[in-house]
Amino acid sequence: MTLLRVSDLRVSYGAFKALHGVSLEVDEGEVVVIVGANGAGKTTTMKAIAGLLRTEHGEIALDGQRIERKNAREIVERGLCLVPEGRQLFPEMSVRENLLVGGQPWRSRKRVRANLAAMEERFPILGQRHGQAAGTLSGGEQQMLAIARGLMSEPRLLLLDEPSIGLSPILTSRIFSMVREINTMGISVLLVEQNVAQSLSLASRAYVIAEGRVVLQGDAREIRGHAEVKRAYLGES
Amino acid sequence: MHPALIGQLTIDGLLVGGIYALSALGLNVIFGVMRIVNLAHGQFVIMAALICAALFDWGHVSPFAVLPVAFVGALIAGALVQRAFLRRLPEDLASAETTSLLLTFGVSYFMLGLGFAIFTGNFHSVPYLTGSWSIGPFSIAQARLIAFVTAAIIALLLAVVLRYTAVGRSIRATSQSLQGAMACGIDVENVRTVSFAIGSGLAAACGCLLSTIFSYNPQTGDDFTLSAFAVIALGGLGNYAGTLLGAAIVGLAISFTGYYVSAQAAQAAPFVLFILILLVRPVGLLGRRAA
Repeated sequence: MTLLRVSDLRVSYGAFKALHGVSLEVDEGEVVVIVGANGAGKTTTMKAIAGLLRTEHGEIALDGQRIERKNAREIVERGLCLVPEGRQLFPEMSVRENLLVGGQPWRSRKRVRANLAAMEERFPILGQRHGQAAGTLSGGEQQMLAIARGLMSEPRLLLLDEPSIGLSPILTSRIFSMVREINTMGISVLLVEQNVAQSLSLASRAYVIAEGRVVLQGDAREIRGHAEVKRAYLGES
Repeated sequence: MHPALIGQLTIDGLLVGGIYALSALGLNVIFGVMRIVNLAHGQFVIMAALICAALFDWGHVSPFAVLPVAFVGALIAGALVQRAFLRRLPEDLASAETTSLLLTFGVSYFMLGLGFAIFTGNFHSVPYLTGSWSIGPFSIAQARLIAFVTAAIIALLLAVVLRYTAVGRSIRATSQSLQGAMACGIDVENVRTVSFAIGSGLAAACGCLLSTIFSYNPQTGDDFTLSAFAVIALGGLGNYAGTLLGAAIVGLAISFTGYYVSAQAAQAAPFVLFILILLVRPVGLLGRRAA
């Protein structure tokens, strides 16, 4: 069943047209990856879906309900949460405060506390460092916190924008196994990743975006074998 | 220099600085969340002071009794200004900065005109709690001490709200990462309204407290805007602990300059510090350089 349907999405920054009609879908329980070069429009797509950018044209439907005119808060309430590129933590607030902000202030306190306990159990390092300022964590811990903060809102669809950027290969592998784990919890994932090989092995389907357009889409394994993808993103000839 | 004199000037300076801190904290909350410079801030201070003076003249109403009402009134007025004008600022940051300056300048002049129309250009003051207490060699003006304690209580309440409530966390989160706050589902437009309202409320509270200490007319509002800027520029924009430090320094500068140079020089002291800090350390004493 389709959870997210994006049709003919167009977004501009002033006179610059960043997206020229992107369409994509994410099914219930699926991991879908968006691949593309820098500046192709991947992050713009993610921000527009999450309500952080105003769309110029097109439809975004979550569970069949149109959300492209909803604000970011309403979108999170409906179960879609973005873990933004660069983590966008609140650096001077403690780890626990970051999680509490992710837990949506409009939910019951009891539920937020229960989610907090669950996150600190799932990510023990965050529990150990609960009083530490988020900005003082290592890169890997910060990414973990960003993901945990996103999970605090109990999303059905998690948008992960470049979660492994700036991380060592070992930490990147940990982030990928975390994404796999999140998916086994029943959460669908839309992933933008510079680590194309690893993300294609994780995803069931993939979209390749270039210059604000979807230029290739399909089964992740097929995309992995596509000659142009091999050449441009995997360094294979 | 006699140690008792130094002690007296220090006490006077810190007491006045504490009250300035309230107005500057308000300006800092607004700047932190909205990244706009509110040029009308001092007008909220002076309007509250003028209302205190008018009510005292009318029926000897204590400025401390007016304070909660003025605070709530300014909360509402601030929220209305934000909703009516500032919400319509362009999304592009550079254009928003310029437009916000012009807009708040316009609001400031509207309030100035309103002040002249209602309270005239005459100077006002509230002769309330005019006595002083003697503690050892020091003499402490009653109005200043009570105003300082009230300011400290309000600042403490603000700290509690910012630290321990969901609204406070949303304000701090939005000021630290707008994108992060939006991604978490914080309604940033509401946070902006609440922040502008709180900032205006704090300015009005400061006005009530200062009404017993200084004399003022509607034009004095600009001085309070600038002194609040001096305080937060000294401490570091967006840094609340820095604001308290900046306020203490400004208060001490006013106190010592007033005694050793002249009352006129004391008025200029915050602005001299403002210029110096911008030249020497533009991020303020406790501010951090952008990464």
